[in-house]
Amino acid sequence: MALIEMNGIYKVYHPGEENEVRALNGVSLQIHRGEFVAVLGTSGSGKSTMMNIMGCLDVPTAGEYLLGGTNVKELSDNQLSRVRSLAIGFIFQGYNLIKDLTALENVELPLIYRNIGKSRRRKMAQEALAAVGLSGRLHHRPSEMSGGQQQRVAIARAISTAPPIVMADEPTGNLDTASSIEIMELLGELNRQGTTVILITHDIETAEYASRIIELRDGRIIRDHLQQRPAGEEAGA
Amino acid sequence: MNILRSLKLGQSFSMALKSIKNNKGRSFLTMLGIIIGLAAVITLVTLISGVQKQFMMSFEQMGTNVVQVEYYMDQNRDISREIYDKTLELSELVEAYTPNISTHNQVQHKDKSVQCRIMLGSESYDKCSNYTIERGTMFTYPNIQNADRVAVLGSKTRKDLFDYDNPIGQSIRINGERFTVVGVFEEKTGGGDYMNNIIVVPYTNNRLLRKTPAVTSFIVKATSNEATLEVVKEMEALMKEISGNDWGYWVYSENQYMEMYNEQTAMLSMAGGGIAGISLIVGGIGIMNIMLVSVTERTREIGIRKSIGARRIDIISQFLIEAGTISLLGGLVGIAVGAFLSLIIGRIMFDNMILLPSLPLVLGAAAFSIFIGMFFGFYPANRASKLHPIEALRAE
Repeated sequence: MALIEMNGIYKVYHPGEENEVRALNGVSLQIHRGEFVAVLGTSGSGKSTMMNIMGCLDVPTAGEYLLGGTNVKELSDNQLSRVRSLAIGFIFQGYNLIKDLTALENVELPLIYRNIGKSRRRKMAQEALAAVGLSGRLHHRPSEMSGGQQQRVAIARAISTAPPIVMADEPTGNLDTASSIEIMELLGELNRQGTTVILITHDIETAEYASRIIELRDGRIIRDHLQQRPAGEEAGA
Repeated sequence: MNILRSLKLGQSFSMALKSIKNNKGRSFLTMLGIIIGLAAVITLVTLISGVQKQFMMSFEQMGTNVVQVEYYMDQNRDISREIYDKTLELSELVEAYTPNISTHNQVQHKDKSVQCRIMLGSESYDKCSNYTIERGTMFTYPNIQNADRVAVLGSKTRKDLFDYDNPIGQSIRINGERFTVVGVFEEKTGGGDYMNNIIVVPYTNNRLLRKTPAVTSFIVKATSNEATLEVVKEMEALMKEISGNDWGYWVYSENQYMEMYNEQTAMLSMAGGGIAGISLIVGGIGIMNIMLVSVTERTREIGIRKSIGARRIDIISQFLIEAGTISLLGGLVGIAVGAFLSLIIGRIMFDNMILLPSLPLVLGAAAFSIFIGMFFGFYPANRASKLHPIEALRAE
């Protein structure tokens, strides 16, 4: 059974009006456990909309989306929150850290929403930050860190609950080359440890870290192919 | 426990404090409404309790359940017989009875001489006027029958005439007549010198000291509040009979005033409570307003929280706790301001009374301020919880 299965997904904004936008125009795909998939497309191709739907942040206008075999359409608002809490870790282009919280507190947040007790939660958050190499920055606020560090905090936050799926929307979009490489290697490492990683990007070089590239244009999949040798492994070897 | 944990109270509370700290000026302005409202409530309630206390103190001086009876029609008449008979008839209701005639005279002891209030009364004068014997005894019924020249001194008179000597058994001169001191009253507090500059003698010395047979003023002490009101009625009937009209006499009891007074304080409480209530509502609207601003400013944060698994109830509880915390902090400051004002008012208006809000009032006010914050915080919190995660994340 596929971990993620989309059958004829449409997302239409302002349907029937003059400014109707078909962000997704009949997308069908399957992603299996353990894959590292890059969704590649220019802005306006519908790739962010696709991630939002995959991440249960948004619902499709039409079509069927099965996550772990469950039809997302049938889930209530609270159940969607639960799915996001248990199954998915998000990484965003703009890091999306809460500015008043320290790195440690930011990483603890998803654990709080999973009702994990204080001491265990602290330990898990520290481990996640250690995994991204930020053990020395536990009590720094986002404004006191570089972009690359902030994104690593965001990755720690995404993986602190050990979710089966990590979704990254242009994670290197705001970063310099060196930081970008670091972030992509972290994602590759995550994937090698068994996490399904879905990467949204407009950049072909970034996409090449993935083992599978799905190209999107005008809301449709135009190409879906496997990579022989992901660049991440080459760089890591 | 599970429900509590699932509401993430601790985390919401520390977030609330952070957010208040980061917006100190704004938070203070928001709290101002609650501060003023609660300070007003606290001061008002404490003020009313001060008035009550003072009233009780004057009650204390007069004694409780006391009925005063006076007769004006014939200034030379002695109606003590009629009053006395009536008190015997009402013996179930009456605890004690005394004539209550006052005159001012020069009083001497050795070379000392003072102007003093002389009260002519019965052996129950102390009971009826709420005095307590400190030394010696009250004079007795036989003293009355024999018109003995015995006297009981108030604490100031004793001090003026005898200083630190023991006055019992010593003689004083009232209007030149020799009296023997048999007892001394304890000092009455709160009434000043007037209450304590007094000499009580048997009323049968009336002719001797006032050159008149007239006894027209009395105090009857009843056994209870209900009995007092009954005695007032009975005495009014008697006095009407004696006077032959309904204006030649006066029957008075503080107990009657007590009810009027209670009504007045109730009205004052209601009016004040209304004003305080309005200011608290205005304060609450202030909180609602600022919480809406806060929700707008933190739209992105709400989106982040939702994307990492926060449910609607998590967002609602976070903002409710924040509103409750702002309101509680404002409430605590308001209580402090109210307590301070109460102290000042106590000093100025109530003769240095130490006037402080009671503990139940303080706790009630604190709880109420949390309630206000949450009540007015609900609308913004609910609005925040309904934000769509994607749109919220897009907000700048």
